[in-house]
Amino acid sequence: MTTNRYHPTWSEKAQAAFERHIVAHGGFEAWESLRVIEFQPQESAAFYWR
Amino acid sequence: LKGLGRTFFPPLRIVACIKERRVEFDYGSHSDIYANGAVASPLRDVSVTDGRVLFSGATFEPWYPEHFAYFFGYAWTNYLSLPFLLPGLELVATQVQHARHSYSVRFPEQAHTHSPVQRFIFGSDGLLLRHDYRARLAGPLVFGAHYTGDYASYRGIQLAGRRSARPRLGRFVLPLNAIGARLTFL
Repeated sequence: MTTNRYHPTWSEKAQAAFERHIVAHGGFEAWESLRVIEFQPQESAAFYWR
Repeated sequence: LKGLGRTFFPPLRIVACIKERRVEFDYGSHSDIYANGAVASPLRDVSVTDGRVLFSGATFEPWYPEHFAYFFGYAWTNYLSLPFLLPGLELVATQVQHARHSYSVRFPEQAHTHSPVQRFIFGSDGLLLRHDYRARLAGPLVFGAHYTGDYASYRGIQLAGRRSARPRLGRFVLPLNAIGARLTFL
């Protein structure tokens, strides 16, 4: 685990728990190599009840 | 409410340079640019160094393309950086209930974002499920719960292909889809 990425307010326990989410999302290594995200949005109608 | 489809329209394509915090909104004939808070909308001859000056913050304030560029410029740079930007922010609360974890963080005062304190809820698969905030620029009463789903791998990271923002009263989410979007990654 890389601890120096975390703000000092993150306890070791919180960091350890959060690493699971980082890994699930692909990890810091993949994130750091990513530069551009290109996409087409299809907005649905705003304000409808569901 | 703000004029979607009347005073401003969704772009055909969005190109987000995440690390530079720059977003291009491609309308085919022209592009509007968000760049770390600054907005340029050449068709409307608007260029400001801090997009916040464009907003009154009233709930029924009509939006134009420059408002869209600022609001969705900072929103997309933040959304697409999740959860990787969170460790660098001040952690103000955590909650672990079974497999579901939530983290509340405080952004720096001058950050281009929805509100200083925001909450992020992750599902049992470890992926971001919900993001709670107050959209200050959209109006004084606009509290949102932004749901994400249909994750897919994009160059090694998981990005949500389906997004739905619903209004919130305190912790209660109303059964109203304020805005929804499906994203096709290119």
